[in-house]
Amino acid sequence: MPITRRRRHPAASAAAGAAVLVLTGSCAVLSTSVREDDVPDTVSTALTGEPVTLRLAYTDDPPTQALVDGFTRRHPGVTVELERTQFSDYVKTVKLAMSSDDPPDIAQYNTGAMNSLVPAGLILNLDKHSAAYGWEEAFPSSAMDPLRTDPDAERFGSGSLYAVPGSLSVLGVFYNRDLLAEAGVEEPPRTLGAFEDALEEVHAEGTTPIGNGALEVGGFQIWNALLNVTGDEQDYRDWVYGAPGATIETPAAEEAAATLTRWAERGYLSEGANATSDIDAQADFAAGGSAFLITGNWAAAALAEEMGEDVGFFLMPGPEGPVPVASGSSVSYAVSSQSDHPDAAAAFLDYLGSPEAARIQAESGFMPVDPEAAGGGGGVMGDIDAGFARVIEEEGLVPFPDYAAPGMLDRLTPGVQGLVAGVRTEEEFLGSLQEEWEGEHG
Amino acid sequence: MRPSAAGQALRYALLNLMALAVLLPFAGIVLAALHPSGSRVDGVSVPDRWSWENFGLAWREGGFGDLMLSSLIVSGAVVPLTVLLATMAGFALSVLGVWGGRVLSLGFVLGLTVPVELLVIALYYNLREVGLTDAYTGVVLAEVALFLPFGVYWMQSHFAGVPRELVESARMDGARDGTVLWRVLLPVSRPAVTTLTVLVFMWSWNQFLLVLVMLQDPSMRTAPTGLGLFVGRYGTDVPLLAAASLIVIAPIVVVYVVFQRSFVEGITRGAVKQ
Amino acid sequence: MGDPAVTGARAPGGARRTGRGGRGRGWLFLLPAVAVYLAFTVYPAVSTLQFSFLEWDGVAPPAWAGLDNFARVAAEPMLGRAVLNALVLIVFFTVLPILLGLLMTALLAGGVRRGTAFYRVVFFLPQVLPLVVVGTTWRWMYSDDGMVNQAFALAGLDHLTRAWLGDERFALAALGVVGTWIMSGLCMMLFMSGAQRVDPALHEAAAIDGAGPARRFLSITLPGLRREVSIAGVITTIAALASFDLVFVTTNGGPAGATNVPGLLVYRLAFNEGDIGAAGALAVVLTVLVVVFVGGIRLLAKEDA
Repeated sequence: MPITRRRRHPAASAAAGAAVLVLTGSCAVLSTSVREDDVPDTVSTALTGEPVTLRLAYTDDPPTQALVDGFTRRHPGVTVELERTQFSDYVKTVKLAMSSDDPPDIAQYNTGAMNSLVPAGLILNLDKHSAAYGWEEAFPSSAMDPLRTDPDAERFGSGSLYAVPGSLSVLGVFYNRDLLAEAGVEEPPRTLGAFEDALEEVHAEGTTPIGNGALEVGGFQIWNALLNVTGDEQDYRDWVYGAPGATIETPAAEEAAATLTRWAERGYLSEGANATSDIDAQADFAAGGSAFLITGNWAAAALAEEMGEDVGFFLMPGPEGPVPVASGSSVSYAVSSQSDHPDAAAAFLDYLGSPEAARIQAESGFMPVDPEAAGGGGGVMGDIDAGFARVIEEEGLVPFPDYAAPGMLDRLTPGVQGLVAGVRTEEEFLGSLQEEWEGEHG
Repeated sequence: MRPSAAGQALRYALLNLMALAVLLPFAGIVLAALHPSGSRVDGVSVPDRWSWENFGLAWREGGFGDLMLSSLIVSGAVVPLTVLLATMAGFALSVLGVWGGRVLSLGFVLGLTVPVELLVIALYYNLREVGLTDAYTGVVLAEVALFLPFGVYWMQSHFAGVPRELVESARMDGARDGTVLWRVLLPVSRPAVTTLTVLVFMWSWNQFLLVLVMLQDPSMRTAPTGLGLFVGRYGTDVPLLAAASLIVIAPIVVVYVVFQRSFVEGITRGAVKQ
Repeated sequence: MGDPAVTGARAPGGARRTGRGGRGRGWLFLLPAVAVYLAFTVYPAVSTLQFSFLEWDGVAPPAWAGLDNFARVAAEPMLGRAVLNALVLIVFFTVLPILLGLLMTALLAGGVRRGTAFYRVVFFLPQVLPLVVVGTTWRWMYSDDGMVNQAFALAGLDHLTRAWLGDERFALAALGVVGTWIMSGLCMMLFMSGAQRVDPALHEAAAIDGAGPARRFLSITLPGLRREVSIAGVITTIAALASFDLVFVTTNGGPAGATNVPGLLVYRLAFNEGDIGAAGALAVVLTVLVVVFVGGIRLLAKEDA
């Protein structure tokens, strides 16, 4: 049974479906074994001007709508329909959608999903478009590298390009100026030790030091931020990209986990963190419920709007002082190899690197891929710009740990919940991560 | 029998306590839904200002126009289809008698113990091959199949209870199978069909996992599934979330209150009558 | 309730032929139902079984894996915990609701003069609501400043308040209580219909002999409810073992896997992690578990009879 790629009439396909299901038995399973061709024959950087409708699947709240508006102003012939899914559901949704008969043209990139989509040839290989547009020069390499992989998607960080970075995110620490001042903490801590002292002072004041949504990703992001500034940057990258022999069972990772456990034991994390979602933790922080919130800059716009000058941001400091390494990712976009309009989709990707797109990204609290285009902003946006510029300058942007394997998220979240609850040891936590990694790359 | 006054008081005290335990969460979300959007709601508390606008806000923000329409489309197709197919099958198995009828009856009954989890993986990956995911047709047929075991069993046992003379006298008058079913049996089967209808409506309206997996397009999802999405986005806004929850349960609660006799009959007779 | 898994009863009546060679023509009436059932229940069930022997990510070509998936499922500690959790849920979804349902029946059947209909409608109400809504509501009730803690504080038990779903030790029981809240009314409804079958003359005779209401319920009504209890057991056990919706919208298995249930892991493996073989194997194991429990309960009920 050949795979059908175009949308069929629902009633016809229903009748056909019922009949086929009964008659064909197992051949349906095997029909996906054809690898789709993901290299375009020709590429063009010019749009024909004919009316084109692109469908774009995305998650969370990057400035997608504003970027789409900007893009369609430039190309009035193009209409973009947005399909939004919450993050916890996105890996599944995008994988299923992109491998369906009628995939969206553009999808926000997600490593977990790409692990299966790229080998199946369902994601457009962008090497030719990259050459035609000159993306190598337009985007920083630390943002582009995670989007490259071999055709089997086993080893990331090099190979063909499968997505283009839009705005960038970075993991750091938001703080509430008023609450810090009340606790007698004069300025944002510049070393890890000073940060821990600040936590203790805030705690002594009766304020919750760190608001956290360990029900979702908020928990492991603390561990991640700690590991970024204490561990070896290259070891960590190798592990996430799946380099042979890499491991997360390192003394630094164990130390980071132990620090998290210690903070939980001392009551530095918000009560009920394990039952709190990220958005709840963020809202609680915005309402003055905690002094710090460790999360990504995607929260910046909302926090700035609610807290005004009260909120500031710094990168997790290292033991000796500031370290220009932080987890982050690009909010990147990939194109379906089944799209009828690959060139129009590529034109949208190219637009992401434009100064206008950079301005839109910066306004929403995301870092534009071109650091030059950012800046000038005060308040928390200024803080983020300042920290981030150094990270990009030093090529210190590292990927999030859940990119290491499709099931990693389901190891990280419960693992950290176990650390927070004091029912799991650091060794058990890291062991479960490594086990998942071996399953994918071993 | 004259129960003592003290016994009777204790009886009512216990009953009221349990009724309160059931109703308190409802009271909680109704009150929460009337707090100003975005405000903090501590347990059961009466709002300072009655914010009826939350319902409109939740409706718009959650895209409940689309979601309710999807729910109506899905339930609107699943309910008549299930009832029709179950009635025909029940008639064939119970009144006409067919080759292999006993085995078939058993096959349908076994379906009652199959967890959705066993079906949903293959349903998704197989239907994708034939373009039935992200289409109402796929979800509708999957739900019909899911509810058929109960439906067939229900109609079969109902027809088995109809006096044989009714069928036989119609036969004497030369009625064909279709006539016997539509003209003779169905008119006396109104209560059984009504019960099946409301039960299938409830199951279909509340179905979550199948829809979550099979309809990826957010605008095609049904109201309960859409609520799941809404929770992710507005987790903090308890009043808005409460209003959205009330929107989702409104139809099913109305159907339940109006047809509660049918529910009672369906659950008890459907389960117990053997 | 999501599943129409209302009974494991035997089909009624058997075939009643009405002459005139109906045996062949009857198939015309059966065919649509059988076709849909085959295509959308039997075939997927068989397919899932087939998937359980494959190594497949849902996109790339599948490879034969033999029994590897079952071996992995058996060796995975997270899974053992999930099955254990599901068994614990049976206590809350089955045992407690049956006890509460019996209590409700005893209170209602023994001569409440007014309000029986009201109580029945109220007690059964949780059963008709979508579990997504039930879950969202209880998640809020269990939160730091939610209704449950409010009640504890009112009772002067401030020291016991906590974020219930966030506490490793209490999360599963907290979810279980929601199950009890949902299922008790269903059990009551079943028992009430059974209690109505009991001959009122028996009650009157016992009352004349001086037996109180409690005594009469235990010695007259209860023995007549054996069949209803076994059916309530079957329905609620299936709901406990195959639970998904409630956990998915409240804890998503957390904290630290304390509320993982098999259904949730099947979903994750199949749709988040792209490990369809393992998901299929786990779904098969779950189904076997359900069949074993349902069979066991029905067997027990028969032996007792």
